[in-house]
Amino acid sequence: MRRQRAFLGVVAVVCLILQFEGDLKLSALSTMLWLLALALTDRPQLRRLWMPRFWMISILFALGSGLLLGKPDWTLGPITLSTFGLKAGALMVFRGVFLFALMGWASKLIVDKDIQQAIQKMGMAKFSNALNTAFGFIPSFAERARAAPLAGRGEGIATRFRRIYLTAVDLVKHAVLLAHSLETPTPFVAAVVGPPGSGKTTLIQNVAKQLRAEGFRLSGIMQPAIHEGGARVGYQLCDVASGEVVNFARRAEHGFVFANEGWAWARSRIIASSAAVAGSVDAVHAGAAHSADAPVAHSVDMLVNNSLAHFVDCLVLDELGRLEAKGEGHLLALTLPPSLAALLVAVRQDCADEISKRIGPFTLRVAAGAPPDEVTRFIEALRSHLRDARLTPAPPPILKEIEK
Amino acid sequence: MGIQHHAKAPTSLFWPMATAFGALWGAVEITLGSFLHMLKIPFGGAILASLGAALLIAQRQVLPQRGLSMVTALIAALCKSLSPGGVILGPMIGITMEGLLVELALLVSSRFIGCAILAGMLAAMWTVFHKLLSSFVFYGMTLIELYVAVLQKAGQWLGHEGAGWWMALLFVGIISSIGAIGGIFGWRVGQDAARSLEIPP
Repeated sequence: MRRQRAFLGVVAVVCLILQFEGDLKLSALSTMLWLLALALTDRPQLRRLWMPRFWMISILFALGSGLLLGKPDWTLGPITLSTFGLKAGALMVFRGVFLFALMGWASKLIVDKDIQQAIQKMGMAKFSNALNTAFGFIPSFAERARAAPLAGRGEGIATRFRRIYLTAVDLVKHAVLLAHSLETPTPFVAAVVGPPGSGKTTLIQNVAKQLRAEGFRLSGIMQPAIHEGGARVGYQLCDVASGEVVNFARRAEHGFVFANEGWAWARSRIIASSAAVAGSVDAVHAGAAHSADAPVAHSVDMLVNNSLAHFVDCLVLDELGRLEAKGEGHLLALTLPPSLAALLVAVRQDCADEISKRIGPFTLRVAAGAPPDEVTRFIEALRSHLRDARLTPAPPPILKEIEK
Repeated sequence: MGIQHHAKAPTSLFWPMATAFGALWGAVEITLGSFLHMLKIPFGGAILASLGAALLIAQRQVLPQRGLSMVTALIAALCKSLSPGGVILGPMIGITMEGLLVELALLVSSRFIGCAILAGMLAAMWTVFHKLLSSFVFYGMTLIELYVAVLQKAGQWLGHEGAGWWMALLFVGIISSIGAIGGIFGWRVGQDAARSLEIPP
């Protein structure tokens, strides 16, 4: 790949020199040489040159220059053209084709990952990080931007303009809030990683038990498996704070069938747990408002009335897998307040990278089934972090709009 | 909806703002840009450039830091590389140059409406200059001579020597007006957004 790029780079330089000699023959030769190089090494680029509009315009330019430039000295039916103008036009077309093909190739180079590596090498790490984050934002912005031209469709011109204006203000506000959210420090994530059935939940239950025994307050959900005759036949959901248990999934012919009520129940617990970390009843309601689920909003109301505005040290989330890797599942309900000391998660091994991109890099990581001394070190590091976090003052108040 | 990070009071918003607005501009270029290009709307390039300028001007109403427009434009230009289609180098250069021109216009004052109008006009005018420049690079001086010859011929057909040049001037006037409207729009949108976010003037 690199050799091919180097070869085309050398040919491009030679062709450029020939092209700017200003001679028609050399220009034609240079264009042919470049097209031949592309045909030998990068055929898709050559196919991209099939652009009827571009060719039409080029031919029109050539004819136009034959008509308008120089002394007319050549007759073609009723039209008198100048050979000087035609030659100039032909030169224009050859140069245009060459540069167009060259730009296509150069454009392809820019899309390469190498450019980002080059930026890193130049010591512009901040720019490179910003660029990576920006790439991640594009889909959500694209969704919003697409709606902008349609705002107020079918209404009067004044109303329509007003709606477009408000959409624009909303877009700008969204960008500002997104910028603010980037300033949030990444949470402390302690992850138990392993394939299905490797004992992640058992390990996370042990860790939670030890932490609770030392007086740390935990909240969140766990997802223990139901076994019958040694086989896994389903899953339950368990509220870490209250110990309440509900059924979540049963094995069917083609895998597990998850109950919608179970998802709603889990989301209500996660929303309430996050809010309990923030210590704010308003935030619980804000969390509920994010969910389109009526039962979630109802459960949150109940939880708020019942108790949950207490301090929580560590949020527990079990069984983060393929859905969470896509930002769905339990992550739909998760909020990460700055006062959260730690997030303890059990993550499926094949989804670990994607999930760490969404919730933050894993500060601590242990494999399910790791030797006991590794597990002890993991628990000790988490415990020591939670102890330190209790001594740290609360972060400054956040922007009003973000709270809303 | 995904994970909601509760933000705390920022220390420096320069890079996050450049990131978020760069992505927004990139998204506008990819979606709205393709839309305008597909519909072949007259002055589509100028409209897109003035929207980009409006975005940068709005951003500077929220965070009036020098250099922000330039960095945002660089990020947006690289985001444009995600755009489907063959040649993206030209649009990328265009976005970068528009950012540079807005940056220059806002050097004196980010929040003065006159500077915002100038920024919009310069960004929109760049599309004309960019077209001429790329034509020159692609086809050489012959094409510029051809353009001049066409203008002179148009004047002869209309029976007035300078008519072609007046038409060119009218064209430039329309482009500048589109840019100026973008500048005012961005200034007002930015002011309103800053006000509703309770950012001090």
